[in-house]
Amino acid sequence: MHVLREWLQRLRGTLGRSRQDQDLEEELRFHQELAAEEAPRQHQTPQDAARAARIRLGGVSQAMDALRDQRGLPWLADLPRDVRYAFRTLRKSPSFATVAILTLALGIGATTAIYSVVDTILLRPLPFADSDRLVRVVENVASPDGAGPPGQRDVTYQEFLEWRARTRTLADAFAVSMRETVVRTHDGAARLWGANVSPNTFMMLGTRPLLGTLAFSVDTDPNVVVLSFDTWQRLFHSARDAVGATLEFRADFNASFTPELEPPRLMTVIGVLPAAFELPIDPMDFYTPFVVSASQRSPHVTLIGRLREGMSRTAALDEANVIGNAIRPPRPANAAAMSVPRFDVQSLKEQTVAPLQGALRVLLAAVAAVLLIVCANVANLLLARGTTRRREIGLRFAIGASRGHVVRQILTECLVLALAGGMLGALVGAGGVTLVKHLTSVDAPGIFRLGFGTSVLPRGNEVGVDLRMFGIAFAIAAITSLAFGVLPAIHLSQTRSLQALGSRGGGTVRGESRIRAALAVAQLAMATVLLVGAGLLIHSFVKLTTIERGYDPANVLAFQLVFPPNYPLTRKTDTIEAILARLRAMPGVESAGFTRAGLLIGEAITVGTFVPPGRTVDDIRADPMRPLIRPVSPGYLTAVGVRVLDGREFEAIDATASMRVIVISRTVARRYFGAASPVGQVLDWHVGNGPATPMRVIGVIEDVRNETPDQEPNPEIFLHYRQLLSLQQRWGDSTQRQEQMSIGFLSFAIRTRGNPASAAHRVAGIVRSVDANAGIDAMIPMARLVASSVAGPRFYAVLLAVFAGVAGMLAAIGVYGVLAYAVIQRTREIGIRMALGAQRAQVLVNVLRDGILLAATGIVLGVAAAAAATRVLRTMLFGVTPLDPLTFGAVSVAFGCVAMLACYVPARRATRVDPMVALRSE
Amino acid sequence: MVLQTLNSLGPQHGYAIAARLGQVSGGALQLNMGTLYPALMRLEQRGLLRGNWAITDNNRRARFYALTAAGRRELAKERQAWDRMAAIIHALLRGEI
Repeated sequence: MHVLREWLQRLRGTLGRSRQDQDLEEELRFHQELAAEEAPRQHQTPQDAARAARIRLGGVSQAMDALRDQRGLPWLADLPRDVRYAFRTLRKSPSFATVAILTLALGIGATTAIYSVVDTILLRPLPFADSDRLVRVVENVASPDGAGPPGQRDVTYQEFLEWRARTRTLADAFAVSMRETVVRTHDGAARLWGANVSPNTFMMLGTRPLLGTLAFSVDTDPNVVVLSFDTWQRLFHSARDAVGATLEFRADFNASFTPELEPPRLMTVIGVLPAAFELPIDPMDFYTPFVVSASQRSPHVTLIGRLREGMSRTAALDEANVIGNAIRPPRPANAAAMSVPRFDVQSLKEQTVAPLQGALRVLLAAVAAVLLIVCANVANLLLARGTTRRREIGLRFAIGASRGHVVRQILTECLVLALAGGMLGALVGAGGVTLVKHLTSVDAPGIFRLGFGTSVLPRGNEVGVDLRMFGIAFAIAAITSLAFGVLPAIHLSQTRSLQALGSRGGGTVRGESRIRAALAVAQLAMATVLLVGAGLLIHSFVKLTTIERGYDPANVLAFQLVFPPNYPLTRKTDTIEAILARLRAMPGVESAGFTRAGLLIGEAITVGTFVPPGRTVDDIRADPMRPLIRPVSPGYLTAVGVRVLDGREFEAIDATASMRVIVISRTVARRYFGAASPVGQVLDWHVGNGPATPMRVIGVIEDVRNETPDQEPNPEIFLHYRQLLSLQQRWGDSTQRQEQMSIGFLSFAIRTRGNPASAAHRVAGIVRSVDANAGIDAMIPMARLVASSVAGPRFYAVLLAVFAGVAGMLAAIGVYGVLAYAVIQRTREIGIRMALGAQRAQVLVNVLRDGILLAATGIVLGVAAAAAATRVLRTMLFGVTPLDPLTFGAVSVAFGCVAMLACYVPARRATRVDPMVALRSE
Repeated sequence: MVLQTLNSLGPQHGYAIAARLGQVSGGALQLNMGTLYPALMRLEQRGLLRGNWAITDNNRRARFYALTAAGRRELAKERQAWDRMAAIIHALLRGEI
């Protein structure tokens, strides 16, 4: 405690609130006088006495120095002076300062950007009340083949209610399940994606409404809805009187989220959510309270609970398995054994960010490597400069500076550099975060938002430039200054004063050049690792975008039609046909088609069994391959650019022809017909218990990667959607089932001659003129949609490529610096060699050899490290192994060439040395 | 030692403290100004002493140092610690353990 008090006092002393020099000196003089007065007994003269006292007691000024050091904190007091001096030295060498600061700004900026993104996603709590205690309860189910990781299944709404009544570890719980609906809008109809939630949901999340209320009072009126900010803007143009307005909800077909279709309901808007609100499961357009009638099968729901205060997740896990096993029927006896408990309680936050943790770690590691390279580069610069400063530092030692003083001075200079770099870096970081936000945002309107999300990153909506970032930038800057300053500081403080003063400032110091070479090699090695990593991601991205998808997205415009609630089926099909006819007649349109669910929607069905000639139903049912059913209109396959391998695609005449026809994909053709041509052959379609329907194959098309390009194509059978409708009518299917199977998502595809985006306006006009009440969902050029489907890999590839590019450039500059400096130092030696008859070529080879040795060491080390490190990229790669020889080879050769160039420039300069000038320079 | 001196002599100035220490140590302890005054300052900063300018017996201005309450407590503590230490060393050297 006393010591703490001493430091506080010394701090005060530093700030000048303590005894003044005069006061101290007076005390010392008094001491000296007293000593001298007592002395005369032994000395002849007072002068002698005073001198003896001084010898015995030490000098006043030395004592003053010691007192001053004790009074304050000398290093703190000297700080302003050190900083001023640092500014002066840096101003004196502007080119050095500029290069160092820019390099640092780049490194600090990149690190700041990535760190603040990672901080937002991984470290910051979810934006809900007590979000660290939010957990999700799921049931683990063994994967179908029993080998893979277990899958997860939600509980039903009924089980949720039971659970909530029984739990003691959870303070409360809410349930969410997805639903979709069609609403009538002022200019037609719109399809909305929302959630049924238990009434306590918003209260538990601690969400406050922007308008109205979020409290569902289900008992009084279940027909209420809360809108998201976006939906409010879209449907009500941000009008404040939206609260109290009504919307007619009608599920136009079942998107398989709820077991049964709900009847149309008139919903009253009771509240609007703030713009930033996003349920941690999916972005939703609206929220309605659960209304589950006794007649309905209970829907599956996501169960999210909040742990009671002080309750551990382990306790909740134990309890979940007790409750779960009590209310859910036991697992079938033949179910594969699992190594994990049946029910799991996951932290909501971990579960939200888990899929990306690996990828974000890779980014952090990459950016840390860039920062290290930056540090090595600046350290190298400082060392190079240090050699010319040796005289100055020698002088400082000679006039009494301590080693500590010199180290402090150099570190202060580094700190000033780093802070300047940090200030610029914060700006670079802000740019970086904006770039990340731009690169991660996914252009996926309407229905595609469900599959693709709005961002590559979970919680992407929370990422942004904020004040914390500047704090991070300066923290990184301070750490960086130590990292790059410590080596030069130690090195320079070992200067021997006399030696330094005597030298002419040109002599080489062996140890130093070895350190600098080591730094350059380390930079090269790290840059190589980054370049290889980026190379792998780019290679994989190129594969992803150039893979044979089976369709051609260029010049295709896609959209989904939305019918108003309560349209009869015949009106829907009439409208579809009328729109198709008008679209085909539109100038600039090559072909237009309709399908149940377009490319990348991520929904498909299998119905019944198709049996090829000579096989039996049981035979085929045992087959693991179950082809997907795709009802389409004539012209659809041409519109999306599918290649017809054999036969033809559907034509208008097929709609009314008595023979039912199908087009099959290549995989189906090979599996059912082998090498023989299937065209003209018949597949028997067994659906339900009725008689089989013969379906004649009229064409074979290339396999289509219907979903994201990294997913293998599915075997598919295409039907004419109107033939399917008439078949369903014959089977006696309900209208709902007919709509579900045959027209579903109402997807259109149009192949245009020019830019498809420019046709969008006219297409919308056609739809409106055919049926003013119909709406359009997600009209977007297919190519943009395909780009959105690979937004994730593109983000990582671009980001890592930027880092690797910067790293490679800095490393090359590092090598260049080391060599250029060596050439300057060896000018005299080279001059003598040339004077003695060395050829220019010999000199060139001589210098190049050193550089190539450096570069080769660095790159070889880097390739070895990369071989060990790229395994972490495995899950991010597509069609490329982590040890892809092509990437490794290409990167080492390319980087080797860059390094060679960096060596060649100083080597050439060496050959231009004029022997006479070189010798005279001493 | 400084604390003990002040405890036995009452408030004193720097020279008197040094002279007293030299005297009791039989001249073995000659404190140099660069050692004594920083030490006094440190004790003052730690709140164990308080220094004030006052007039000496022969009418000269001098800075007198006096023990504070904390200083007296610290002295007692130090003394105890030393006694224990000395007892242990004593016992050790006499081979009584």
